[in-house]
Amino acid sequence: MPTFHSSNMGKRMPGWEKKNRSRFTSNTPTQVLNGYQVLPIHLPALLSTSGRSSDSDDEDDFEQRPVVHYLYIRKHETPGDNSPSRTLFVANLPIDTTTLHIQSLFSRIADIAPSHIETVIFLPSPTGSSFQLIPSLSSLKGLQQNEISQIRRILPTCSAAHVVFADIKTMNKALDSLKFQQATPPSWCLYDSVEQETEDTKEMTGSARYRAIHQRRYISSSALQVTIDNFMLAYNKAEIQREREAKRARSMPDEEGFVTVSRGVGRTGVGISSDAFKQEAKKRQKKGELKDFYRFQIREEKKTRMNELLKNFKMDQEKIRELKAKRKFKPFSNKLA
Amino acid sequence: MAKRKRSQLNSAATLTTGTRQHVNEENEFDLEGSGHPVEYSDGFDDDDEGDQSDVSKQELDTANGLSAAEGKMSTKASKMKVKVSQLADDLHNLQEAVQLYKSNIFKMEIDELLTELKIDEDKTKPVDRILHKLKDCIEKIEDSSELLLSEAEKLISKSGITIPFPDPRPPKDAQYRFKYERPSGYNLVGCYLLRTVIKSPERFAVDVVLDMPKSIFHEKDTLNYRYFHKRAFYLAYIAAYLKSRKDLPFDLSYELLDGDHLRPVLRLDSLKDGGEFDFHRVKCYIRIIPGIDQDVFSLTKLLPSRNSVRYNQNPAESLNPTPYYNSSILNDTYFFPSTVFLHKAAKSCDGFKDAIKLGEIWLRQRGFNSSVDGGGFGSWEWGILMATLLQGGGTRGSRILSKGFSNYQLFKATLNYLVSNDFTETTVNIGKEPLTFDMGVFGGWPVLVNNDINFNVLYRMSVSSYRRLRHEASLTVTELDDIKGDHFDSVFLDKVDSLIYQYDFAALIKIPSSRDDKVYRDIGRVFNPSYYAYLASKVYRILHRGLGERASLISIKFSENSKWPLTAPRPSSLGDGTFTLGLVLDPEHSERLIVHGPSAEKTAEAEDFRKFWGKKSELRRFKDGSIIESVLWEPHSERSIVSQIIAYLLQRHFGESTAKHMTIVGDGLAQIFAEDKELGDGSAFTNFQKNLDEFGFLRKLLIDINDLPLRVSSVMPASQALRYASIRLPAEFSIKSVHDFSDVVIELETSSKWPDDMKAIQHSKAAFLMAIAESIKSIDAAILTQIGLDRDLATIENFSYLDILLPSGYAFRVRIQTEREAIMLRNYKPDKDLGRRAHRNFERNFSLAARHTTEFHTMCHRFPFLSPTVRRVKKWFHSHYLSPHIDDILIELVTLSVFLKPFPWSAPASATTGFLRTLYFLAHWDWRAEPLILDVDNTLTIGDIQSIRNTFKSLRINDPECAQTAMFVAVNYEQSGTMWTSPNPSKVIASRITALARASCEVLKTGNAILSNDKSAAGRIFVSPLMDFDFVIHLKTMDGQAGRELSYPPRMESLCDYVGLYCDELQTIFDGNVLLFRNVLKNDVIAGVWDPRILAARNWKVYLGYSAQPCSTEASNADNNNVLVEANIIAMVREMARLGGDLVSKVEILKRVT
Repeated sequence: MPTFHSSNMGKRMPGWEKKNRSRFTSNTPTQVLNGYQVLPIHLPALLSTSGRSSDSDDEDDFEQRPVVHYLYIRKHETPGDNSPSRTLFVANLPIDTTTLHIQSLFSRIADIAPSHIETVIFLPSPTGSSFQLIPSLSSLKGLQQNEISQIRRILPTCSAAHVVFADIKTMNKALDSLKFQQATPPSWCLYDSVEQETEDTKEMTGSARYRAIHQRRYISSSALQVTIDNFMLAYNKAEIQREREAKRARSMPDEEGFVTVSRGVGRTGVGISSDAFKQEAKKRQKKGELKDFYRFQIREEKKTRMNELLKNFKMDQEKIRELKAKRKFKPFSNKLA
Repeated sequence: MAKRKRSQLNSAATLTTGTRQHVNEENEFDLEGSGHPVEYSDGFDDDDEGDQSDVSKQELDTANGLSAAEGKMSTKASKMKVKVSQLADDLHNLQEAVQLYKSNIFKMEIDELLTELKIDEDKTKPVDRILHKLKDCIEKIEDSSELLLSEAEKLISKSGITIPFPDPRPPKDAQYRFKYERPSGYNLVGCYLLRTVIKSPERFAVDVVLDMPKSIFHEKDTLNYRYFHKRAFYLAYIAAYLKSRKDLPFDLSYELLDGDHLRPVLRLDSLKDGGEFDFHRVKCYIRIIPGIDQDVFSLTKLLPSRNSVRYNQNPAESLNPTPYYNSSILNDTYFFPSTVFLHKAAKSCDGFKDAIKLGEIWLRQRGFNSSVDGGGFGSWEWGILMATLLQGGGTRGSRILSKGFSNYQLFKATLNYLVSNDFTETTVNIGKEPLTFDMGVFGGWPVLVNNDINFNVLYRMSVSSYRRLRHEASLTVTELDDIKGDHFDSVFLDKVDSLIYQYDFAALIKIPSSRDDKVYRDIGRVFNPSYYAYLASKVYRILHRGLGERASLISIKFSENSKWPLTAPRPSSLGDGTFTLGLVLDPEHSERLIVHGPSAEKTAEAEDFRKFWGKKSELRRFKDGSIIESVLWEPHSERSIVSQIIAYLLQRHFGESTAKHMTIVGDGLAQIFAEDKELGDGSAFTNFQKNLDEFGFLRKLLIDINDLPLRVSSVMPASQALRYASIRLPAEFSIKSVHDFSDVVIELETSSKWPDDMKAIQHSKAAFLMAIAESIKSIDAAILTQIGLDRDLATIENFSYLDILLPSGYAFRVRIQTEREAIMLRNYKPDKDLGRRAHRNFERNFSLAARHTTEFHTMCHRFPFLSPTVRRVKKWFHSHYLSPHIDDILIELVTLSVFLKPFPWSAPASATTGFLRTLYFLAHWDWRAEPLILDVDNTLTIGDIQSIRNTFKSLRINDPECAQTAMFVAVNYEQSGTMWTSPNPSKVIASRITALARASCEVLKTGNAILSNDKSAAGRIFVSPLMDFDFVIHLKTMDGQAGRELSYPPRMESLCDYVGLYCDELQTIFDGNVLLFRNVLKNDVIAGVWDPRILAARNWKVYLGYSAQPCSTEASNADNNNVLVEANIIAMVREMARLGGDLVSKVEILKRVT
């Protein structure tokens, strides 16, 4: 992962430099928004710089531009719970955030060892949805070793997380470090020693990522067979259990000695008697009545027909008025023909 | 009529209210100074006294701005609002409207249209004043003495003007004498007098006829143009006088009367000097037309069968009759009688005048008018035809039109008559003593005469324009007969006459100079004085013969209507030197390769055939053993067979340069399509056929599998490649990505053993697919199978499919559908909303996809050019990066609509025309107000259509902003109208489609891109400017995309659709904030547009839904609590680029950089 060189960036973007310098001088208090500490971080480009000259003069070159992302952080307090919290609430996470990213960040700005961050709980976002089109590893069974490729989880934009510290002291240390601005915003990247590769930490983007997703969709049939067998076995078991429960409920009188009458396990409902009645009634009506027999029938039919006609007439008038408003009746106004 | 005499112009003293002249002893003709220009008094007709009150009532109504019929209707309508007690009466009236018109709304639309076309009669007052003044002036003109040609020319040239002699001019040694005498009559005639003028952007003509006195003519003047020469002098004499009158400031010029080269007229246009005689606001001009009385010449001499031009000096040879020439003279005698004839009809039939207006608007939209270059059929001919049909025309003299008809009924019945009667075969000849003609003398030209108008009213029509008239009439009659649709727009409002959209093949042809055409100069002009018209009918004859049944309509048009100044000699050409050729093709025959000629044994015919086709004609032996003359054409990727034939025939019969200077409309566009490898050439159909054959093989394979617990009961195609609609042609071993697999849906035997749980059903389906794969492997090991997963297994939707790769190199993707699934998803208890969504997806991807594939497949066979059209239209959509937003099926249905509802044209019979019409449709479709309803097999009832319309209506009432559904497309098998249009394309995208289609039409029309062979001009419609987007992510070409040829069988990973997955993931992550665009055919960029709502500054909250930054403008604000935030779009684009990693080559932020 290429690291970010702020000195280079500053030169290339005079406008940014000016704006940013005023904001990022040390010992100035950070911005606070609705009780949230605002922490600017640099989002470095991931693009390989090969194929383009690194000292390009193009100032609009997006890849070379320092990009600032803002985290919004405050102490997490559960309403009603008075016990002192050791959790920070971090909002507006970048989409590729992992636990390791958070650990690296705090180690950089507050010198907190990764082990002092107990856990990071990613909160489900109420707005965005996650990419559902990848079959999750957890739902697949019997995969061969070479089929288990980790695909990093990507968060929807504007996600949030609870960062739980080992103790209150560490948390306060972290919080204090946020009060004053950094000389340069910390870079959003992992620290160097990432040993174990898990779904959470795997640094995987671009073609590698999508190849992995593609492969996940084409798992071996043996693995799929195992997965399906497992599922069906569990399902059948549950089904038998449910049937047994239902049977018992049918034969067991409750506290007051009544037996609840319930439907059997037949999957399609029995015909509903009221439906049958309705149909019967319909049939009878068809057979019995003469339509134009009584005078009142004729009169009524005439009346409905007239009302219908009148209604249509009103509707048509309305439509014509609309069309007229749109200047439709100009026969010589077609510009495109 | 012929007996009717008009007296000399009365002295001005009697004109207290205007000009008054005696038409007959008891008939008065009144030209009022105020109010209406001319009013016929009641005695004009033969009606009795009782009619008089009727007439005055009608006039009263007319004065109120309403025709009699309208008056009744509108009073009834207003009463209805006020008094409920009269309801029954009104309803009766309403019912009547339904009977007299197509439908009630149709009647109202016609009423609105007629109001729109009405000329404000107050504004025409200046014209009436000028007409009086003119009359006074002309009366003052002194008679001339009898002059020889040289004297006459000298006299006229004194005023600095020329005599507009027709071609040929009088011979130098002409012995007859020219003379001017006071006109024996001064009459206002035509549409202005009848008040059938319609409001239009063009100026209309106010026709004044001056009757030349009998005394200046000799009885033999009908011969050898003498009449026309004298007439030209008469006109010039008046022109010279009017020019000398400085108190009458007009712009004077000569003009041909209705394009008749023999009969020039004097044209008076208003000067914009704001003076007493300024009438430029009236949108008209005045024509002074010299005419004659009917007793000047003997009628029998001018019968169509007589010759009046001795074009051949050799008396031994017989001379052909000159019907055009004769009719031209006769027409000069009928100005006033024909006006009277029309007036009588208008008086006897209430709807007559409005029906003339309807006819005129209908004709005008189709490019017709009375002039030779306008097809020779305008409102005057239309009126005469209607008036004739009011008298008879049916079998045994029965009347075709009844006096009680509404204007619409008159209009429709007249069209019907045009369609069902061929005027070139039988004369429309009505009257007590019908004239008998030998149709042979007209040489296949249409004829319309009646007892009152004793000459061929249609003499200015050509065979080609007559065929075109009937073609248009039959299209319109079909529309009017269709009770399910409204069709008002396409009948009256749409401009039908369009070179770009109307024809399947259209071209511009340069007209060779008339000087080179010896045949025309010697003889041709005797029968057809206009060189253009002469040549047009020659081109028509040749193309008609050469194309045969390939073309159902050959239209050749030219324009030849320019006026010329009095001072200049008549220009040699009055037109712009081009023909526009338009063909409507018969898709069944148009691309046949062989022209069959006569058998070699028929020597004379074979000789004729060879002469016609030249060296292209060859003797061939056919399979059935016959040896016949024939012409063979080669299929060509850019040139259709029809265009090859036309080019060859033009070259053979009109010379190399004519053929070379032919500009084919849409040629540039056709070249672009021809060069597109993916679209392929004419063999595309066979390619699809191959894929279908392989599908047939697969179907049999699957159905024959017998070791499954449930057998496969049906195998249904559900892919665009199986309905002739994919852009990429299916071909052997061409699988490059996962999208190249053709989708197939299978059903299993019904069984009661399916589980009760959605997830369990999906798992069982996957198990079935695996069992099928096993069986296939055991049947034929060469068939490769691979099971795949669409989505996570924990969902209730289908997640499994089976890819099958046949040894032939065709690939299919099989999914299972079960009836049980549909029922259970619809009533999914745990989460109704989820169930509804899943059910919709199920219908869309399974049952409806299969149904649509079958239906569209059928449509492609019914319309041979539907498949190439839809593939070109798809290319257009993709080129504009709309791929993620528009369902292929939606494109297919929109394109299909152009074929199913081609009105006012006929269904396209060329891919380019189909493409252009689809763009035209998209540019004009007001999807906010109009649902698109398609009836593929004509099974929708009026009730169905009404209920679909109601669905649409309630949709719009609930969602007036079109937030959920923008376009609404319903078809027989999907009547909800939203399956393929909701949620995509959204309103933004739909508006963009309309805007892009409009821009494309505009580029093609105004940039003349459609008329040039230059493909770069036409290519602009496939270039979407990236500047329209907020940011653009440029992508690298990946393996497995267009770049590299693949080995076979392809490795699964090489089929990965990187960009597709990347784009899908981005859209999910930034859902609601951004719209992403890309072209699946090229995968070169992903372009994005931000939702403008997120760009505004607002208060910070936790789940804002997008990455936000504090507003910099507020940064200095001391009160930190008031700091607002805005979208951090740069950071978000950076996040996108980070995710794309090595797929991304460059990122550009084009707009809204803060």
